[in-house]
Amino acid sequence: MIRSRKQARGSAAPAFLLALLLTLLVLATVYVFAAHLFPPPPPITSIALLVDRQYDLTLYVAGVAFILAQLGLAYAVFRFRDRGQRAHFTHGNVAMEVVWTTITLVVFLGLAIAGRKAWAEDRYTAAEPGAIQIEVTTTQFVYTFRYPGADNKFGRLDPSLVSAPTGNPLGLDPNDPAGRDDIVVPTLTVPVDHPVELLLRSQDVVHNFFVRELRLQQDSVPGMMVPVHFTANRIGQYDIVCTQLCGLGHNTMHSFLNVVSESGYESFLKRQAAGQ
Amino acid sequence: MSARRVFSTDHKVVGLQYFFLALAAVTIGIVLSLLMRFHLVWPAAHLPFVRGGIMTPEQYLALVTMHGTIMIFFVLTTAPQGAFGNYFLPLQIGAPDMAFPRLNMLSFWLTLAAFLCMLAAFTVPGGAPISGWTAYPPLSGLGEVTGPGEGTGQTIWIIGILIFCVASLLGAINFIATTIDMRAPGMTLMRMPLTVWAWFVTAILSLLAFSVLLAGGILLLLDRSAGTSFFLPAGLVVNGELQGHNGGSPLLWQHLFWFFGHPEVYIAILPGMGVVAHVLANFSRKPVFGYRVMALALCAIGFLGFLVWGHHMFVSGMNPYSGLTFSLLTISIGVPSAIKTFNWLGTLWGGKIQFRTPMLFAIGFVSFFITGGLSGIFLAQPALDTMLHATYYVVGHFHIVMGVAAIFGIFAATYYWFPKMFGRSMDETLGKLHFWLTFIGVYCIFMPMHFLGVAGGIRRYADSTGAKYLAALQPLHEFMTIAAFITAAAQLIFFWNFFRSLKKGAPASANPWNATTLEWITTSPPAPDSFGGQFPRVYRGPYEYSVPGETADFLPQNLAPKGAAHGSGAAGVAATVGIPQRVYLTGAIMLLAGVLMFFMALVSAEIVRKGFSSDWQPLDLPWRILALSTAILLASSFTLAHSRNRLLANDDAGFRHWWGVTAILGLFFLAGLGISWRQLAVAGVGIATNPSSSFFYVFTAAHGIHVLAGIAVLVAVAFRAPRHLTRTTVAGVVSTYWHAINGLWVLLFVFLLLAK
Ligand code: HEM
Ligand SMILES: [Cu+2]
Ligand SMILES: [Cu+2]
Repeated sequence: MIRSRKQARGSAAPAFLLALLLTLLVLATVYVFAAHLFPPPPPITSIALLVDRQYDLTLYVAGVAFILAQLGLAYAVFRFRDRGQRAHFTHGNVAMEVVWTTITLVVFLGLAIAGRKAWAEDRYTAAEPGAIQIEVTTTQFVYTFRYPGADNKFGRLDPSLVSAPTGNPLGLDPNDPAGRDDIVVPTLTVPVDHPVELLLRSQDVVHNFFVRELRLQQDSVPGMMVPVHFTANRIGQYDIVCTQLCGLGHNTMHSFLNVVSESGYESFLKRQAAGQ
Repeated sequence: MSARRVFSTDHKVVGLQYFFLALAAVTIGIVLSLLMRFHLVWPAAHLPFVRGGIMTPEQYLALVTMHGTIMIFFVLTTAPQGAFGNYFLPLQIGAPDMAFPRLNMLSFWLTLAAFLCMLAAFTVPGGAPISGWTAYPPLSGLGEVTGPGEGTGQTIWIIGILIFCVASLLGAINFIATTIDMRAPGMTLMRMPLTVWAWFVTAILSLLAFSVLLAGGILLLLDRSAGTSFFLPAGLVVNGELQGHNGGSPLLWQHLFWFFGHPEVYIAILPGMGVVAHVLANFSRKPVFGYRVMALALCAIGFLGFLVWGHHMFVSGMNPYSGLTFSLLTISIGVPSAIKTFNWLGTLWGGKIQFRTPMLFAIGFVSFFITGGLSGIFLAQPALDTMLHATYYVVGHFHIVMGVAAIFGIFAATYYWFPKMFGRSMDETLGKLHFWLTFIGVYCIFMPMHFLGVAGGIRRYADSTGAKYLAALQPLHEFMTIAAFITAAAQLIFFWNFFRSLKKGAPASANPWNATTLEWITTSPPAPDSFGGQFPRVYRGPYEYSVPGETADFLPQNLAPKGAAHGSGAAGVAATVGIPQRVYLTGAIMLLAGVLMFFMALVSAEIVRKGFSSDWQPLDLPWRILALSTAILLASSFTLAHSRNRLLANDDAGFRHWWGVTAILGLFFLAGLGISWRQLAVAGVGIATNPSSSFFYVFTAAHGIHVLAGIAVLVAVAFRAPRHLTRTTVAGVVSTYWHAINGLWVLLFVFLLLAK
């Protein structure tokens, strides 16, 4: 009896401390997310906006669950600390199991289904007709962008002709007339408010194309051509980074997405065509 | 230490060996992570253990790879299952040992070999591999051209993984057979402690997952060393050099890897879930809330865990419609996960909570699991994954839900069972201090990773110079690094407490926590035969705490009900037990399940590879010799059946005769395969010639090895009857294996015919 009273007294401090820490955890986490201390940059496509909305919705739902569960845990450890009482004997409660299983199932599946829209708009549809096609080639550790030029046709590529030092990083076949006017550049320039389709390919290992403002990541896989599309609605310069471990220079693999005005785009093309 | 103690087959010794292996591994893993964290904040600093003093990007990536590999395989897979499972599963079900003690010993030594092999990667020219624990080809498949560490280092890494796979498969077979066949009288499935349920389900996951990784790893090794193109497409130009591969699919590796990889994360966490339920009940003095639902949820998680691997591949180039399917399945796995959380809370609710160190760690586990499960809900949605994938958000998610939660499960188990394992107690004050510092520290390290990830901080980056915006996030890195060093320092308290208590801890009684399960009815530490020759009989469920009307607030599982005629009072003693003969058949069937899974992985690989590529060529196989071999193999099934019948009819000579004939027919079959290989080779068709020949050689070699193993067993049995098995058992087990392997060949043969 003496022992158990001593133990009971010893329970108050850890119970209180644990409850306090869990409460602090909740407060700190809610604060950082609610105050937007480390926000992603503003989205620049309508799909990115959808992604943000879905993110916010998920944040609310998960946030409420997080607060309830962690505070519930805090409450339970504090409230039911050993004070010399006898524990309540129960093997469970089927009705409660059914209730919370159903609620979780409905809420979680509801979220996933709500999130379907942003994904579908992004990935189920092909690019709009009239979208500008640009080929993106990844190599350790650079991006190379190719525009089809005036003929709107990409020239043939031949891996055996690849030679970055002699200025043919993609292995363009000089005998293919379609390739003569192809524009090959190290940064990506697109016109604002105009649909763009990127065709992702890779020469060596798996890389990735990530622009935060597009809320878009896509691996570029050797042997595959993966299309993605977007319509940027704000002029500016944005970082392109690689998120797929690709070798020792992975962290330096970087380029820019330049979203320019319609006329700026025209002059970009002209300048490049003149330089070919 | 005598050799007999080192090479012990006692499950308790093997369990401790796994434990100390994991302890060594986690120490190395932590040091590697501290080096990384230091480098991220002070990139120009001189560091210990780093060749050249200042860390290069490739050294950073080697650390990323080895840290992940060591932690996931050699800590989170070995400690919860190999260490505690081995030590306590037999005790908790009242068994004298594991079903196959020698196999158990072999599992451990293979695991150790795998670990040493893995560490050797640091010492070879080029250093350890840089392709991460996920080892995506082509980066991991081409050798040195793709980067330092991708030569010998990567090869050694793959070999280490393959050895680890074999060790885990053998371990899994043992766990399953033990749970199914070795339970004490009265220990029904629904009376097993939840720890036992968790180890059991984990073993099933290991059996099915590691056989797939084994298949994938072998194919990757062949791509690297035999010139095949399972994962390597045509036209690769690496570092200006054109590579001579053809038509392989990098995504095929990702599918195989994650088919293993997702179950693997549950292999790491399920035992922790079991321990947590167990400890929560013990220190709440309450039965586990919803015991049946908890056991069921474990099974549901295990099952669903095999259907969600694609959530690691939303942005990999996989079909976007399968992305949605995987998303819904992944969200569904959140449901049994939530059920577990609710029931843990339900167990605490209305309890009489005693805050002993193991209890604190168990409560910490629940908090981490909530946090990490909820971040999973973000990642499970492909639309959100397009911004969060491969950022620090994912790193935060999996460290909290897998890394830290599983480690807290391990800590809870260590503090809880230390008295039983070593007969002494750990210091409570130091234990609590260790808990508080670790609990706070770990949240300080891994919560900010979520913020970093949402802002676009990318994982596996050696520094933050790549894009301007990354530099702005540097303060988060600084905070995390400081937290990491403090938290790591707090682990010294644990090590001090642990090793000091081994020698100086207060002597522990048999049942210091007033617990109900069978490991507590024997002495601390248990005698070599576990129960001192008196094996328990079980009368009640595992968590009978605070039963109304009883004076004691706990009722041991072996306590006979009042007025029961059975047993000799409280101990409920049953006669001594040996290893039942049926374990051998169960073991063989489990082995065959693993083998089947292995071949299914290969067959699916062939189907994917064929569908993906344009370089598939039908192979002109030496059909005649193959058909003849098939007929011979089929005949051997009949001779074996006949041999077994002779044995049952007590005709020893007939038994031996037909037994021998079977072995000889098996040899003929192998010779047939050899001839078919030779004919192909003469026709100029090698393993790397085209994808169908690659698969043909792999299938036949893999199957041939299984036939060879069967022949070896046939011969061994003919010359020497095994010690523990009766003749009839041997004949039954060998026949099951032989018929199944032959059946498998027939299926493969049909598959090859169809692929024609
Ligand atoms: C509610 C439950 C969970 C959900 C919905 C979930 C979802 C996900 C998703 C979608 C990813 C992929 C993220 C990406 O790579 O872009 C992921 C990664 C991961 N998860 Fe979970 N998860 C859950 C629970 C767990 C648990 C319990 C564990 C381990 C015990 C775990 C361990 C991991 C690991 C290790 C990774 C990263 C692997 C890597 O890329 O290296 N997750 N999770
Ligand atoms: Cu990269
Ligand atoms: Cu997963």
